Amino acid sequence: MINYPTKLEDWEGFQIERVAELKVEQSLIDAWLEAMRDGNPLYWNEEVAKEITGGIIAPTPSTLTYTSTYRWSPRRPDEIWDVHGVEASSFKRPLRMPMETHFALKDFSGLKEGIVGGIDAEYYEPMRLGDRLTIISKIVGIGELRTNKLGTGRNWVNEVQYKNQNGQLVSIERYKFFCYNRDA
Amino acid sequence: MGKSYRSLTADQVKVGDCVPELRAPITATTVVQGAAASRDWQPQHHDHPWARRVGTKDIFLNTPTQGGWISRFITDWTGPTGRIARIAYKMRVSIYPGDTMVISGTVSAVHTDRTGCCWVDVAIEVKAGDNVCTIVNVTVALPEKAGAESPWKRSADRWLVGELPPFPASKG
Repeated sequence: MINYPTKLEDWEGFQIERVAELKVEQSLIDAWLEAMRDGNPLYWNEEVAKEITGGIIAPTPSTLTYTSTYRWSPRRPDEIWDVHGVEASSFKRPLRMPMETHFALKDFSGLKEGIVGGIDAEYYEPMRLGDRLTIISKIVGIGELRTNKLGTGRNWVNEVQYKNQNGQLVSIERYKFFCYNRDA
Repeated sequence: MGKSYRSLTADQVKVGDCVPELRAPITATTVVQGAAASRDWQPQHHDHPWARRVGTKDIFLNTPTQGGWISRFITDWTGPTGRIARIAYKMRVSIYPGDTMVISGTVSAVHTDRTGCCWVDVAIEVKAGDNVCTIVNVTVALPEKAGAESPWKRSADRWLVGELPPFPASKG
């Protein structure tokens, strides 16, 4: 049970920590390589990867692949992540990791649209086959209400830290959002 | 078995060097495949009517997919011994089906930290036509010279990403 803040100022620093539903797996890596046509042998060639990185690793920017909540899972069949708003109301909503804090703040503030203006990412321990990441999702830097050509809304940053099952820091990603309502 | 891969070293790199350009035609399949590979099911990356309704002209590449292409752009150049330490993106214009994405980059800094790790900063532009869609800065670690320690051998106490200086000022 998450106790979400009920006042805007209390969202600053609010964080949620969860273990990812997925693990780092070769088939997920292969789908990534297919999409980006990336032939880096560290991601698929056991011989080269063993020599350089001690085994196959996952592409550096692919954290979302192994940490994004399943839309639906047989392990929690009464929950659906319903982005289109069309499912029966009897379904509950899962935590929308890795950015539940962003989505929840967006819901709380009534800002319907959101864009990412920038991302800063730092990479530490590589992701290895079999890793299951822990996600720490936190809101920082909530801005004042302002109006621009998109509409009226606020900036904030969703900082996401990923750690592996050994407690080693894998990466930190800072998503810089502007969330807004279009002006009538 | 002998080494069968490219391995760029820091002593081969200087400020102003250009990274070989990467071009890719973008289709709806490219966009959706990238969204699926990153498990990003936000509708603007696969649902054309939704994208139109929220004010964009079509579905568009999500950021992890751009990150994947940029990672490939860098390691195609460095070979697998290049270890990416950080990526900073500024998104300006979306990349849509029908665009040809062109990724180009220039070395903006080469420096060595207190543990002897050699870092290379690359200033990157991702363009579609005349539009600069995304401005990116990447730091990648390289072996100092042929036969030197691979950056992948560095444990956390010698992988000082948090001590890196800010990126050189870019046009973004």
